[in-house]
Amino acid sequence: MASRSDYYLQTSDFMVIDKVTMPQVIAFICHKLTDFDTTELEWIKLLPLYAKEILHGCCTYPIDNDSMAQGIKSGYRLRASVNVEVPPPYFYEHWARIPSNNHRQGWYSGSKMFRFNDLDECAIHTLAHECFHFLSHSKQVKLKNTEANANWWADQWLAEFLTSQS
Amino acid sequence: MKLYLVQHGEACTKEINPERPLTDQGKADIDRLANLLEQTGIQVERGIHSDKRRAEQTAQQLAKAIAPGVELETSGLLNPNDNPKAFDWQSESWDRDTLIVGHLPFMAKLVSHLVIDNEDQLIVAFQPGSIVCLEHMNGAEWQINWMIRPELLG
Repeated sequence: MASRSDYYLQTSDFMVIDKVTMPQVIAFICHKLTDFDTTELEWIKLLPLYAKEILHGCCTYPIDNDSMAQGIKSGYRLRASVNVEVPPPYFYEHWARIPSNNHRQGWYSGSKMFRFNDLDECAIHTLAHECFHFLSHSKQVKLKNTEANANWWADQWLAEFLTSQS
Repeated sequence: MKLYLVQHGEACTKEINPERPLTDQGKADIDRLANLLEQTGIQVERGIHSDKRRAEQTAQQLAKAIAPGVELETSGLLNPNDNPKAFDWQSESWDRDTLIVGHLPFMAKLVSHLVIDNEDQLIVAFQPGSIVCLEHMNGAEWQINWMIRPELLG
């Protein structure tokens, strides 16, 4: 495996820690977040995975009011891990908006196998998914905070990333 | 909206059949359950099962009774060790009664997650072929309506 160097970035609001060394991915995500209020975003981490799991994401919300009352406060924390050992393409099953004429919104939440052609696509999608949880929970996006919506949101950001790279 | 959460019926061991289909006892248990549900007039508009044979067989048997004409969905997100927190029940599209057939410990953790928001504290004792009915009214929490285990069906 090629050696990788850690990458740290401190924006005016939040810290970025990239241990996979994907500056193009981080730059895109940070650029997309400039459209939103990130004062409550504490950090974003992009980490390598070495096990069989293809990817893992997590969005931790600010701790509850009781803890805040005791002076303990944290912001939103977004973590995405992507497998740096398994060769692409990557396949990952998760909830998605499945088109349907039988539902008033035109889709239902069901299982879908996502395909990512390279590590950039995988990292963008995983980070964008977690960004959605942050943006929905902080009421900056008026969509329900669900997995299907998070993956739909990630699809939009990934498509925009691919367009920007072509 | 109601969720009917079912643990698959009794299945063969891996040594007997690596695909672990239902045993004769498992099929009989699910058959009795299907008959009871049909007699009570329960109908669902959606059915989802895991990608394992025993769950698929269980869902197919039940669907004949309570979901005629419904195309069952296969999901890889209902496996024994999947994360119940990732179950997308809050989605806008979960607006119709649904049958879900899966495995332990996932199904038991899912009930705990939905009802008490703590998947580590188990509140129902599943056995193969058990069903738990949860109901979610608008603006309210999930509640357990009832549960049936095979031993109650003779």
